[in-house]
Amino acid sequence: MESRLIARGAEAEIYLERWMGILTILKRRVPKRYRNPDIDKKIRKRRTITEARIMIKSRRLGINVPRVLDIDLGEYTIRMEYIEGINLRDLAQTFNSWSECFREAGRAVGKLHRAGIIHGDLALTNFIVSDRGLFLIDFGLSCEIGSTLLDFKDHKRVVNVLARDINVFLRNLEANFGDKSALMFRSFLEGYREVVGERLEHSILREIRRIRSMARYAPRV
Amino acid sequence: MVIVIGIESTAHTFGIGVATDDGKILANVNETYTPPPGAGMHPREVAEHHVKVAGKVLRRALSEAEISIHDVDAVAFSQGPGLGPVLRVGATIARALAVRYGKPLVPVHHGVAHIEIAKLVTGLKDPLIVLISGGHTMVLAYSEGRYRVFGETLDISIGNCLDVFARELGLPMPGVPKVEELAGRGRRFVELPYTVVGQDLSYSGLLTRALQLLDKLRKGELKDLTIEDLCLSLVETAYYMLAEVTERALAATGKRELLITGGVARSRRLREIFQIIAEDFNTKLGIVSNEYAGDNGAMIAYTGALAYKYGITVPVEESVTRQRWRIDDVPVPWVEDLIRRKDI
Repeated sequence: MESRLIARGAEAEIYLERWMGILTILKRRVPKRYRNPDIDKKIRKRRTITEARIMIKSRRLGINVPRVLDIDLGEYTIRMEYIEGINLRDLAQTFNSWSECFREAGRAVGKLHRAGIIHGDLALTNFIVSDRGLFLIDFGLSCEIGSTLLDFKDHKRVVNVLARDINVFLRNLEANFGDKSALMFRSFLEGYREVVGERLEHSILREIRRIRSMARYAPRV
Repeated sequence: MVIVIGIESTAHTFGIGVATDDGKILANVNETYTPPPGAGMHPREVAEHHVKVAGKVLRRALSEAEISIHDVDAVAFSQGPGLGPVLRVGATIARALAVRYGKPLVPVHHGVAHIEIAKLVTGLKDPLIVLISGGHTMVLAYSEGRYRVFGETLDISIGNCLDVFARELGLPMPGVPKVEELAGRGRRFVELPYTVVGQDLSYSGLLTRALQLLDKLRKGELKDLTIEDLCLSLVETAYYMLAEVTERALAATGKRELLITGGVARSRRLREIFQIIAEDFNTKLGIVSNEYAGDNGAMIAYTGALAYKYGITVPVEESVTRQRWRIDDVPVPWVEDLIRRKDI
């Protein structure tokens, strides 16, 4: 079986492997020597389970995420389908016609949030534009906030966690694109609003401003 | 070569240092305010302490450096961020010296000073920086004229989190070594809120939960958990979070050097953790020495000397303190040259 290490993240190694005739990604959570070994196993096991479960659930909800093909809790691995494409950062750096892609990204995040799923790491490189549409990847930091959003739209805590999720995206946009990021974020919000509605979008934007003002040494706004 | 006197006055430490732009520390004299065990710092009381010790610290610094105030080229001070009343003590003294002796006044950002002194003593040039102190918890890297924030706490700092817990336990300041000592005798690990959001982290949920458990424990509602277990769980969780954002930043930036600076850099457990991370990422590790880990005058003097050499001064009438000054708003024009320089 061919296997090639294509990325080494903070907590996992990512291999590209041919498996049963198709190209797959194998994500292996590596042990951290600085952690107590028991805690380390517990953390890796729980994260592997959570990631796989949320990916499967997202897919069932009609959100484009790689298909989970296999899970091995003894090895702390998830095997998933390989999505060939270009990530949103590279795409926006290379092409000028990015607005529809950002709108689509907003829709995808909106669908996740509507289902009560927090992605946890909405970096631009975790959106893959392929010829099968836009895919969300890397659910390593994701979690569920229980039941669906629409049940408690104004719930403060829910708005807070959703806002934090989107704030990661916004900060990543700003870090990569500076002044241009405002326009990109506007397109993203258009798509997001289509899915979650204007009311929730407004409370989330207000919450993002509040979160930012709470950071140490942030200018008061 | 320029010689600069620097005044640190942002929090519990009042310090005066004398340094040159090529990295000679001629004096480093510091006095730290210690609140009674179980109590926090009241900004006004800290300010009063600093006013009281200022004259003595200044005289000792000048005699340690074996110079007269007439010999310095400029007066640097920590303009921010920090506690308002405390910042004003240092700024007032700096302005008085500048006016009385006709010296230019150089504003210094406290966090930038923590970074520069650590680069000086470790010899690292272009590292990924973990800045951990009572005020800051940030992962940064230099790019195009500024230190850019890669990830940071969304609420309280790691030092603040552990210090408040230590205070509630009735431990004297500084709290981190004492909490770590208790943690060393812990046996059981309980899961506490672990909050990493993208490249950022959050310590307020962790602190709240730890304090809740402490309260229950004291009421005898938790039979199989000891104070030591709770300290262990808190410290390890806090450090694992910091370790994870550091690893994420190393993976994303591909930096070959890792610099740890700020008061919390003295933590023995954190040193162990960062050593392992550096090995795993094949990265050169530099940790600030204990003398320059906590707030100190020398770091302000040295950073002031760098800034002064690159023409950064502030007129006295515009030298108002900046309590919430963000590190990525500070121009650091000297860094580019320090990276290129071969001799240090």
